Amino acid sequence: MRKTHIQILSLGIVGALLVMSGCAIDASSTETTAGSDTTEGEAVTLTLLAHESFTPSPGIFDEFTAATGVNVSVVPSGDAGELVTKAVLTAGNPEGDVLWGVDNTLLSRALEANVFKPYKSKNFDLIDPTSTAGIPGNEVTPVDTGDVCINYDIAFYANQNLTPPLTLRALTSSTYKDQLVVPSPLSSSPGLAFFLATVVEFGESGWQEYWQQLRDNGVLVVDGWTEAYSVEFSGSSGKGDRPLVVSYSSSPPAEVLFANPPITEAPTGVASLTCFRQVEYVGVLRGTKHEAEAEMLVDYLIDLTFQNDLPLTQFVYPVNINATLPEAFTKYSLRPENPLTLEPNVIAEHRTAWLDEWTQIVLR
Amino acid sequence: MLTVDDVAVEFGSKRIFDHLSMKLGSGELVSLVGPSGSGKTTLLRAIAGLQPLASGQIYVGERNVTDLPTYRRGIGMVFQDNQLFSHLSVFENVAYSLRIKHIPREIREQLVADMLKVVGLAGFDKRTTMQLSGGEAKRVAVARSLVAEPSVLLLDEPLSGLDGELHARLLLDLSVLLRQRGTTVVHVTHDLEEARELSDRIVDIRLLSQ
Amino acid sequence: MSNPLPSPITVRSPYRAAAPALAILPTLAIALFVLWPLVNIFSRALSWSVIARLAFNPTIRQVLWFSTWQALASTTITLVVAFPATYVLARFRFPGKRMLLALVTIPFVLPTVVVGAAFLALLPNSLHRSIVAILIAHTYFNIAVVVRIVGRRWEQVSPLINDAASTLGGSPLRIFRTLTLPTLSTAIRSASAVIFLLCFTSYGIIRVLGGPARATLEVEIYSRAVQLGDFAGAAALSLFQLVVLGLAMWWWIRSTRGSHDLARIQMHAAVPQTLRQRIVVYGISATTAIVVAAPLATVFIRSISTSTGVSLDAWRLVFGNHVTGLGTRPPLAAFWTSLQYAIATAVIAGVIGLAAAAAIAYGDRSTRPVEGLVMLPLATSAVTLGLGLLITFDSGITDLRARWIMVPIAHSLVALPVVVRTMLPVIRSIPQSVRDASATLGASKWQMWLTIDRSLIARAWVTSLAFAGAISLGEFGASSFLTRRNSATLPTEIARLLGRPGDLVQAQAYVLASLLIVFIAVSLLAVDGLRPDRVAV
Repeated sequence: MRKTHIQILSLGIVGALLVMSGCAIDASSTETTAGSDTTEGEAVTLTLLAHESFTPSPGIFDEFTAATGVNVSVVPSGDAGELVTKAVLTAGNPEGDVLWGVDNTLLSRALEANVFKPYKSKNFDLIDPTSTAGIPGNEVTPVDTGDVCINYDIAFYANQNLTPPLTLRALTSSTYKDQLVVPSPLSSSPGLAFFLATVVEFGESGWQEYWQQLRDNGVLVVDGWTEAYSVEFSGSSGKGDRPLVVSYSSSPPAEVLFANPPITEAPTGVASLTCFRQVEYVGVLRGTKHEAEAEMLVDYLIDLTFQNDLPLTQFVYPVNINATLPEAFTKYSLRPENPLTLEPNVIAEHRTAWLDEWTQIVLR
Repeated sequence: MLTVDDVAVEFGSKRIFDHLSMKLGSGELVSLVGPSGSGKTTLLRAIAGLQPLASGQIYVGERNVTDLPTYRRGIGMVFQDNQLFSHLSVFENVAYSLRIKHIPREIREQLVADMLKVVGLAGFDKRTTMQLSGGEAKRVAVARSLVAEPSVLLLDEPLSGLDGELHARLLLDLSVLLRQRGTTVVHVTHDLEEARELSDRIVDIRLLSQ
Repeated sequence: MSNPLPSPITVRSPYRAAAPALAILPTLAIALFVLWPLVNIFSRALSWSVIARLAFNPTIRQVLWFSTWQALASTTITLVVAFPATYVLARFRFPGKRMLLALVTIPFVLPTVVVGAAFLALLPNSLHRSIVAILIAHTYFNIAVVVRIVGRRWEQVSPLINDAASTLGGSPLRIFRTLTLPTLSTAIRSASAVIFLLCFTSYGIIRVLGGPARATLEVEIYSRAVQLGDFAGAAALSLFQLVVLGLAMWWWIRSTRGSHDLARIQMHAAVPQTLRQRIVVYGISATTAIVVAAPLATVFIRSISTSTGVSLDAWRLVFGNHVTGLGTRPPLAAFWTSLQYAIATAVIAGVIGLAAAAAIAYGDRSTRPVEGLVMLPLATSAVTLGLGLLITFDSGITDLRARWIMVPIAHSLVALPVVVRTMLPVIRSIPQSVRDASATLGASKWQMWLTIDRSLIARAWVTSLAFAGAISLGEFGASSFLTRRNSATLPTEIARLLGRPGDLVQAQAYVLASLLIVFIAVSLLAVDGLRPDRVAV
């Protein structure tokens, strides 16, 4: 009896040690930090830190590696907020070499903490100039943009013989009572973008009243975008009971592309006057041991190969003016002409106070 | 006082005894003897209502208690290893049945003090059960049962595990105490000497079944 | 409250001399991986003015009040709801008992994302984002805590004690009140403290089921640190949480220290005899099984449902190790990663936990603080600790940030309190008389330990290893912050997939969740198969 236990124990320990040693080897060969130099010859492996939504096509870096001899290891973890939080805490001694995915709502936090090593890409002139505003020091480089807008369920409004709401103001009308679901700006990046849209639209002292009216009109606030879009929204897979949702202008093409069985008309539409422009940036992390290689990677990320891959893998718009948009985007989506925007430093200055106020108005 | 009429007990499909009958007069002390496994303890548990009957009836006096739960039969029992309540003091152990009967506190304290004196444990009331010797624990168990004034008291190997002088003294004390109080007792033992010393009548359990 | 037996602490252990040496490893581990990171983050972020500002903030008061009352309510409800199952599992032997015990334990180690998703699917819309949903989920999670901690004590209560009380005129209800409850009170307090701590620091369930309007301290800490970048506020709140929960834990350890399990561990479970007993036992078992299994079944059902009806597509994709369409990583890889982490966690937490439990049980006053130390991870804010680890182990050979070992270390911190709590009662209950007997036969201290203590400890240790492994499999909090996708575990992978729109992606998340449930169930069955006697959580 006792023997068998000893056997189980020793087997367990030996097995565990084997696995651990195996993994340690495995881990050191696939993951390399900025701090550790590579062991095998001159091949450099860059670590690209990104959020979980960074999902480019497999093999997208092969071309880069072939051209430069530099390998890229993508390390996605958490959402953009977690990413910036970690980058701020490790500023100067980063976990990787390049960081993908800080956006204009979070940028100033990173800039204040001096997270990035400024770099002006040799492809800088190819970037749409509207997205380079607000970063005069070239600490980061824009890589993609997206628009957070009210999406509506086309069938719902057709059946009711109603026009969908086209402006933010319309959302407080009793016609649309109990129809809107939004992700919380406290925990969701599109939620924050939508909140900022209302601040731009109604002013720093006007948004409070607007949200009070939204609340009176039955707005449903949920934790995250997925819950809002895939559970509560009636126009997507969840078939919830709210026909209005805060989402992206690229959501309708996504509905078409992922439909099973295939469809030819988008089931959802976008209210173009409600859009807030999000810009995502990439930056070289200060403290990297591979600065030259990291800069090459930034160049590559705004070059055409990578930029053309963006729309269909991540449902964002490329910043490269020569990039081509796939047909699904031009056909099912619209690009708002004058999206609402807000300077990163204004956002940084007021965010905490605004959100505290918002919490008291909407949640309590 | 106690009538056991044609009872049978089964464990699953195994019959421990059947057609067992016995009768005790008021104040009578009867010792049941018999080899291990003959069902002595089982019979006591059946009388107390701790063991369901396969058939038969049990009367306390004129009252048929067969279908009554243990706590309403008025039958006390001293267990082989005492089963004192370890989270309670000696006083609280002895006072347990009195509290259940909602006896007022002053009377309760008096009754317990008297009973502890009777069993030779005056002044032990604050002790924990952990601080008792084997003989003392047994005395507490007896006191705890007697203070409830049961119509019938069942003693299940009450002196096992005690030997020599302690056994003899406790046996004498118990015998005197039970006779003084006129308690009706069924006593189970494998020790014939102990049975002779304590009871009016000694019966081999195997002879009770027809 | 008096003790059923002389407390083993008062009996001086023959291994007293070894206790300080044993205490070194757990003390070092906690100091290195909990205290140092916390000191680091506090010293970097905290200031008196921030503490003062938050102390008078109405939002913080609301958050603190909500954390406390929902934790108290969850604890009370769990005790009541788990009571029938605890009774039946502790007092009776019946076919399927081991399965039922394993089944009720599964929720305890399931990741909150999975349970949250299951309840979202199971509960009617009107209960989404409600306090009711939170309480239901908290209860669901913690039934096992009551069944195991209270049940372990209960099954050692001899039924003869109840017999004795009934011959003294005690009715069943009265016996329950005057004998059973007092006997179980320490175990009930112990279970309550664990549940309170877990619910007070609840994060995932609150986020998924509570909606944005409800925040516990832990949720507020996360939102300040990560969403607002207010490190100072987050640090102040986690210091606050540490103090509150530290006090709660101090009370708990103090109130449970005096009493131990009976020296001879004797089970008194009986086969149900009368018809009434059978109805009670099978009725309660069946109800419990259904209630516990329903959310698990929902997970499985969701793995085979798409908008077009029942389909095994998601299973095919996962087992074909197919690219999910949203990311380049084969989903089954997370399975192997989780398995490796689980084994590593079992070893790390097992070794440290064994040393800690032995140091506490064998030691005297000098090693007592170890008991509080190893419980510290329970009271620590996971987010804050994660950030602390990040800025602590960041240079030279201590740069563990991208190292594989960081995740099992974090999991071990979470598992350590459970491991110690599983081993401690067993080591404490080894009767000194048995050791004395072996000493009279000429055994040296070391031989005495090998022949007596080791064999009695070994089984509890294997049990705690399996527990640590299961905890690692389901751990989500710490790993969500520390893992990188190259080393994503099953729970983080499930969370990632659940965060994506699309039927098929969601279904794949539920496939992985189903696998996780099976995986956890197997390791828990192994736990209870190895030991006929129960395990304390």
